[in-house]
Amino acid sequence: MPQMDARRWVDATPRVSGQPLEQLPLDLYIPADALAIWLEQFEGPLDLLLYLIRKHNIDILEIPVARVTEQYLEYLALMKSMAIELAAEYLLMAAWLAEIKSRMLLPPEPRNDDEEEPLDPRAELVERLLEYERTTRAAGRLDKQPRRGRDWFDLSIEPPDRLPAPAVPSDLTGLIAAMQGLMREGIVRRAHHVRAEALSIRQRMTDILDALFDRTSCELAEVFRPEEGRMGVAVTTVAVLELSRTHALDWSQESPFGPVTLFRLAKKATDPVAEEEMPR
Amino acid sequence: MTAMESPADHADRSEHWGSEPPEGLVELVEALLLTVDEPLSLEALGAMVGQETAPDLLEAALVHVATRWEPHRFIELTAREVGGHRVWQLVATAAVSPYLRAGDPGRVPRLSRAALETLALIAWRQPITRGEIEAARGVAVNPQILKQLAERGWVRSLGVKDSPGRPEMLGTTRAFLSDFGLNSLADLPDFERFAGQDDIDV
Repeated sequence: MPQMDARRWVDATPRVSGQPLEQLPLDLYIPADALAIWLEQFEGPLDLLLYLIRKHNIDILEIPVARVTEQYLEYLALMKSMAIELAAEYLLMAAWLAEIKSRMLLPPEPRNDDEEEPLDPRAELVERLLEYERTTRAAGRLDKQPRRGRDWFDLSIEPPDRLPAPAVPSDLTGLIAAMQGLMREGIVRRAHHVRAEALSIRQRMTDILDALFDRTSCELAEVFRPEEGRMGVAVTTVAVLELSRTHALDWSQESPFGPVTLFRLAKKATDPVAEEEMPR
Repeated sequence: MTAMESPADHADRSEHWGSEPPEGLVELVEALLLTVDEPLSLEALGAMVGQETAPDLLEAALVHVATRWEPHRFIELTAREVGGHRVWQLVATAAVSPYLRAGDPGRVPRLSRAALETLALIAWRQPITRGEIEAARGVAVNPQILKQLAERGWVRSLGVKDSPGRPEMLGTTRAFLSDFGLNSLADLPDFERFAGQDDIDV
């Protein structure tokens, strides 16, 4: 039986030189609080009952209900006299024990299926006591499990967020060799990113025509979106070229490197996509 | 039983391996043990160090790390058995706890019997409702205890049970396993095994 807690192993009988002390010396003063603390340690009626059963080495399957009830009520009276506030569960258990006791006196109720033995009125109590005993042992097992924050503490050295720059080869030949190595690496490990088309040329053509919807000209810079980067530039350029090919617009540039102006040619902006199949 | 033991106990075995780990490996293994918060298995160490390192070389390195820390009063390399795997971790031992408590008096009070029994029922019997805990223990559950267990991050709600009143179902967390050095709930012994030897076998 794994040791649960010290209390279960405390023999309630005081001993002097190994001999049980049956009668307390009259002048011995036991502080009332000490007994109260001991009594308060019970986790409830099941715990108290289990203690009584184990203390008297009673077979849990053959509980002498009358005797145990008597002792249980004695402890309850003791607790009351100590002014320990008794939880309602204790009284409920007392009532249950009394009920079992009286059932034991009655002839067993006949059961519908007369194959099995008549139901023992103690069966449910025994089951609950055994279940509770397993719970206390499971709790004891859990308490023995090495626990972080009690039995051990994590050590943690935080690694630096940014790894230090690798050491640069100090001489030129080493540097060149390293560069060559990287070049070779670059050839071998060329990455191919296959991505879905992020920007649509058709959409861009429509956008440009929208910009020219209520006016005849606009600056090329207006239809560029710098946040799109090189891909955006390419898509917008192709869109402008396509629109000029279909004679939807034309462009002019006043001076070299000067701003480019787009002109609407079609009377009304139409959706070029519907009219002609566009390259992607 | 997952008793804590120090691999330094087996330090004398290193000569049988015959393979002296290079000092660089010992230092690397030590650094990994210090920076990774979770206990490390040989496989985990191998994956970090590089596959070409033989496991027995890693094991020899672990023994060296254990020996290096052996004179330290508060830090040790512990080996534990978790889910059939042996794992290692450099930890501060319980010897530091009085000093940690002195620095922070509010720090983690010990678990009461009621809290341990409640936690045990939740761990072994999850999902379990508060009512079922109360039935098993024979007393009302102190809400303070459930709050304490939730605050430690060990217990969480698993939703509500489809029964009258829709009671909340409780279960344990990943942090519970980690704090109790468990890999999974299967590492806990079978609940029925806690029946006493003088009782009938269930």
